[in-house]
Amino acid sequence: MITVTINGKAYQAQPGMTVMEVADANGIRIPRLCYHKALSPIGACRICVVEVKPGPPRPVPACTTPVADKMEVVTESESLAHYRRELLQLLLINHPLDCPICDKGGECELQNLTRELKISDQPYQAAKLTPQYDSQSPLIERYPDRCVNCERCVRTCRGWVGAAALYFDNRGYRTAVTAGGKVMDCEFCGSCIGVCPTGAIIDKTFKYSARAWQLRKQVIVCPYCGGGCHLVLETKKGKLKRVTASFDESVNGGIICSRGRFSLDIVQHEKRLTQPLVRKDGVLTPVGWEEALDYAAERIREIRSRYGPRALAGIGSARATNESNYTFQKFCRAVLGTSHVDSTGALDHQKMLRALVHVLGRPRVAWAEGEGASHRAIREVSGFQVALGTLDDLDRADTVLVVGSDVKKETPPLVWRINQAQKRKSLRELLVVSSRHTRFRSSARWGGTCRPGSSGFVVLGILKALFETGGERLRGLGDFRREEVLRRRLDATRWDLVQDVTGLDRDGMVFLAERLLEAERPSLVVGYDLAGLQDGYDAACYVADLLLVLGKKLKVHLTAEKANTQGCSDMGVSPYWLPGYAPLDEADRFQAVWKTDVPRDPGLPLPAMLAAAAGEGPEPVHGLLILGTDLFGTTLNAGVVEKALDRVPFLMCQEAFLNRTASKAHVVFPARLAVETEGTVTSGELRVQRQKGISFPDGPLEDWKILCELSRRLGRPMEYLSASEIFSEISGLFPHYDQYALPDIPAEGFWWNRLYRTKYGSTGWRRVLDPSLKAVIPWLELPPRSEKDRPFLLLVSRSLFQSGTLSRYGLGARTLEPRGRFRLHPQDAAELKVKDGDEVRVESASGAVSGPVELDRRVPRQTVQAALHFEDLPVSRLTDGGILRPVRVTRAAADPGPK
Amino acid sequence: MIGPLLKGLGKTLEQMFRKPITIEYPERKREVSERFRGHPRLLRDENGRIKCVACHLCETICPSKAITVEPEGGEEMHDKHPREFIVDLARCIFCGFCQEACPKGAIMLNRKYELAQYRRDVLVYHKEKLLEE
Repeated sequence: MITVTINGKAYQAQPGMTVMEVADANGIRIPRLCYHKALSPIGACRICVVEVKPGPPRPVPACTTPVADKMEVVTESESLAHYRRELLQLLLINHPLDCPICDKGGECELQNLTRELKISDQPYQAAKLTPQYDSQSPLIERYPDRCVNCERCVRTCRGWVGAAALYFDNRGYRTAVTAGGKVMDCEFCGSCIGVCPTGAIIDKTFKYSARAWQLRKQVIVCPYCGGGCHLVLETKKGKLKRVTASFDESVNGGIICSRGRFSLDIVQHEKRLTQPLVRKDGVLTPVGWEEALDYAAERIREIRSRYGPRALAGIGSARATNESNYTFQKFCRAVLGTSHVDSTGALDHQKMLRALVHVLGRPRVAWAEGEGASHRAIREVSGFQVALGTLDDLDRADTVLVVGSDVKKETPPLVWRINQAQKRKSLRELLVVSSRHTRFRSSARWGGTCRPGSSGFVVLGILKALFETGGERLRGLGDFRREEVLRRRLDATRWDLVQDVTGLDRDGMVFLAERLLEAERPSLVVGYDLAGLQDGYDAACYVADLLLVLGKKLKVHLTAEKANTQGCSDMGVSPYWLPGYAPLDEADRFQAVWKTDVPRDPGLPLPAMLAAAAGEGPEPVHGLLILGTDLFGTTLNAGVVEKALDRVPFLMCQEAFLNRTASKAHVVFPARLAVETEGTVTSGELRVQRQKGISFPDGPLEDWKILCELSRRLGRPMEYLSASEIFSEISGLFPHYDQYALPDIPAEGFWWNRLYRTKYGSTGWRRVLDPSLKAVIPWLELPPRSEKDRPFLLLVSRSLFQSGTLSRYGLGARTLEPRGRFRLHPQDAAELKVKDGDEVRVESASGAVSGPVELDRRVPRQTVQAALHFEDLPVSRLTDGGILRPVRVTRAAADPGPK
Repeated sequence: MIGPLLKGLGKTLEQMFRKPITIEYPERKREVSERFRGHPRLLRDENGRIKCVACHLCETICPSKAITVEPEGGEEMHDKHPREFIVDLARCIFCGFCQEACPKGAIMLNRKYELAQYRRDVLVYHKEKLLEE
């Protein structure tokens, strides 16, 4: 600690802080324009000049001057005010006087500064610059004449987002921020809008719709990916006008992506369902709540009495809150009495969790004995969750290895943290192994191209290399059983095979293994390119084995595509476990709380459930309950889904929109989106955050309320009055969530894998990676290869502007990518004789889809990439539950069309 | 005793021949001062376009919340004007703050002061009515 005197008063400071940081920390206001706390200082505007002693005999910028012990700083004086006024007047030469129409008016830092420094005129004359307005880019408009060249947008775009879409052009007086071409080549996250101190970059969707001071701000957790970003919804008279982010919060630090900023208008979309629908004479007809609930209860009762409870099945939602998912699985298990509960997470994210649970164990707390039940002390915490890292762990990591993930599209906040860590130089090595080239990968220290679908083999290869070259250094890292078996299995797998499958050579694997061993705080990011494979579970087992081998050192970060993918699994929406990952034979504990029988037999996983709904297998499913899920937007084959949904005699959906799944239902209940539901959501880093719930349209109800109403009609009522009541029941059954009552959850949430921190202090517990853990060593299937008559591989990918199928209603997503396209490498396209925009027909063993082509150098050769988000590109006709499928690509015949 | 009585009658007589102070409203209407603050009205510029750019300052400053502005963008990048501009004269207190706050000189109080109506909604002036005033 050093002492700095500012305006005659002494303050404590850390060495290395700048004068600006010390002043800000102590509430001393220094005028500033180019300085922004989220960005590294550049000292360009010189508005923040201060006088320092000892120091040069002229004012120095506070934002770039580090403090020294016994430094004396003066922030206000006659001459400083004069300097600042002159500087600002020079900036105002070219600034237009269009404050009355500028959207920034009222929250403009330049406007505020002009008033603060009491400037009423601008005495200078200079050659007028001709501004190059940008009105053609989607969603963003740029007014260079309002720009003050503070470089904030450029720094954000480079340092956080990693898009580098903006840069400075020209020199001196003619310096201007430019985007290169007429239209910005960017990710349209709008972070530049957020940092711009003036109205030089504005949100086109908000333009001229309200003034800054009229807006009411409410913080919510973003409903799209599992990053858990905080968004600020700004409403005027109950209508959503724009979405911004606050730089004062810790989860995403003020940076949000294009989905969060531009696609949240779904809350007040005109197609939102507001009335329950019941199928009458084959047509979904709006009816009252009572009628719809009575009808659904009647049908459920009928199926249960005729075929037994196991003829009913439920599909939970990775979009709904924890409380809704918990109530849903309880409804299925306790009220209906069926054990068939699953969610679409089973196709990807849950495979990773299953492998982690299998290898690293379920979350378990061992309590110290001999103390009262109210003050129990924790003796030991174990389970897979201790190996999962948080965003802050990514900040601290010195090596990050990304395997099998297109991180930017799956969970953008992970990328922003990695970019920042790279910029700070705390992250030395960013290593990316992927089958596609991405912008993110080009910023990596080392990028390796593996064959599509070979992520599991990459991890296997790294393990093999670790054992071969690690030697003594591996000792003392991990402590687990069956190490010998694992070693033998890896030795038995020949390098030829690994090299052949992955396309990476042994040296690459050895290099990666070496980096992981050398690193002090390595992090591993795993995503949907691994988990989404048919044998994603087996591949994820090797990830878990890698965690065993490297022990406590390695943190793993799972990407999560939807806001509550993680929470959905936590709440027991899975046939493999009860809430809190409790095994099915622990049902007694739940029976005591739920006060009904809980089925102990394992339920059907999602694909089997659909097969049963289609009438196959020994126990056909006759009633399917779906919570906020479009099954046609998953990798499940559309034909299989269609057959199941067409056959099943009773289909109930709780939905916000009438999507393709819901349009096949017999009864549809309008549900509130998670944003509108009070409750909690769990982000991919196990952060449990409170959603306050702001309701937009009248009519929809919370998912859990609908289920409570149904349960009352079915004679086994679940009487919940509020979400906090459900949350406390969850806390009672899953001790890791038992850290706060729902209303007391802090703004930044809590991590459920850090149970000890908040409630119990950090004493008296031991974080263990249990030495009794044993490696699971499945045989990995060889990834699908292209076949003779199907020479291409379909690789299901994601769009940067979309998340699942919910975002397709969003304005941003509709504007930026109005229709789905097949992406092909230009060389492949040339061989097929198709040009950008041409229609192609893609055919797999199960179906064919036609759609336009987009040429993209980042796509690997002999691969066609397509996303599942689009209604007009039903890619799920081609898939069969995994992200890879051999296909044939041909130029579309004379009669094209998506059908 | 008779003296004061006659004095009083004399005063009355005197008043009968004087010009009356009252006027016969509404047959005759009183002329108000140049600076009188009456009903608000919207102005057009020399090209006949509405001067208002929907900056919402009048709406914000209005102490009795009489003004509602709905903004709208035009074809041009810098074209902003009110889609709807409503002044509820039943709420207006004729303080003239709107006129003072307006950066464009688009709203002014004229010299009209009559407010008596059979229905309240007649007193809610929309954009067209405000431009005609």
